[in-house]
Amino acid sequence: MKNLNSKFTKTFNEMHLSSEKEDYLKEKIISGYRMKQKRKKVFVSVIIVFGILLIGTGITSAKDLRVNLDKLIMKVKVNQEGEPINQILVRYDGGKKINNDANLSEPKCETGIDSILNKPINEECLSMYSYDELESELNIKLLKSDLFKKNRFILQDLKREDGKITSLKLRMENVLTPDSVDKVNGSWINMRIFINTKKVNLDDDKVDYTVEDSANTFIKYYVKNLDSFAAGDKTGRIRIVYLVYDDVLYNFFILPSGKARDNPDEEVMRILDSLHF
Amino acid sequence: MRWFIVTDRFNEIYHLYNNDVYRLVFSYLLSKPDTEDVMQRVFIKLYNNKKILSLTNEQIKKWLFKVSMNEAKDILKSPWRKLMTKLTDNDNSIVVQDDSLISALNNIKPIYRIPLYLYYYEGYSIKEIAIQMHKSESSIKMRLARGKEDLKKEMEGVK
Repeated sequence: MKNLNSKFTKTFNEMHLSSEKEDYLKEKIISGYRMKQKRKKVFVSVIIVFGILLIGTGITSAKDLRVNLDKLIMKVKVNQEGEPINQILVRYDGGKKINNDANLSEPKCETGIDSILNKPINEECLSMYSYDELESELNIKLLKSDLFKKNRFILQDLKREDGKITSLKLRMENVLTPDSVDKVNGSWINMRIFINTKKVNLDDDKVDYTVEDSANTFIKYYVKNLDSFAAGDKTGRIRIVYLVYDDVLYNFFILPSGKARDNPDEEVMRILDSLHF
Repeated sequence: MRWFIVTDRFNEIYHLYNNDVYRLVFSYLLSKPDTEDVMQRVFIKLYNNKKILSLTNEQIKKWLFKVSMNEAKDILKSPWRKLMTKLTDNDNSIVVQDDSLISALNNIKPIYRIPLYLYYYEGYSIKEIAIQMHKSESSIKMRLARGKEDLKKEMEGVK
């Protein structure tokens, strides 16, 4: 008991925020609060029954998704008590062929991300690259959208083995707002890209995310332009959407705003339908 | 409360308790970026909640802990976090001189971590933890006993 007491005290006493980090977090908290207040003033929220709108958008609920999609799989299983549970498998098995010798800089130090302006707080820590730079260095094509007002990704993580790139994680924040505009224009959308060059063996029985009895929690989106499916998880009006396309995993965090608040899934479809190489 | 009083009070509470919230959340999530995300969410809620700001410091601390625990649990359920944890190495751990406790906490069930932290670091009684976590005293006792046992096994393993 005494031993554990002193171990906890010693270990956790060493943990504290630096004054720089403390101030940075406080600024983020206050800007987050202001944004929330602004939204309250500007928009009057109207709740429309989803069922009616779903017909128009071609979205089906998870109950109908008893088929295996290409890589994102949603299916209904039975738990130990014999009750049906919906499960979503967000699966990405990697294997993307890229130029493994690409001249991209690994993160040099830890820093936060300014998710409004889409840049690292300490710009010396993380490098940023445009679509063109990434595509030419990696020798691949990445999905882009004409709706996006931003073009530069933060290279958040890059791993190499024997000097060869094995995985990288990119993020672009607040994509609908032009660079250097210190606010959120329209919906707040963050895009993340994950590329794994190694092929991963995914175990069929391994479930990444499970929610019981959630017919309306998971949504399947069909992206006509890409002839591909995306899977979405909904919490209130927030949508977190996953899409595996050309062996690359894309993830979108979508907080709809303005008219889109009333129908977040139309906003998701607007973004997904705009994606192209 | 008038605006400037709210801001002053918020600043006071933030400086008083940001490290307490940080440690509590980290003891559960064991990841720096996730802990910072939760801190932001928790303090935005506080900034939004003028009623809470008018309570005593000790009551506010309890409220902060309660909200932090709920937010941390939500983060742990996030599918993106699960996926990223699976696909990438977890290199988010905090640097401390002796990380045997952190490694051991990482290997025990998450439900044991907060009771252990509140009991051994914050010095809460079992009754206080039960109230804070909306659980029965017997459930907290059980979590502490099992958590302590698992933690000891893990730490002996580390040695």
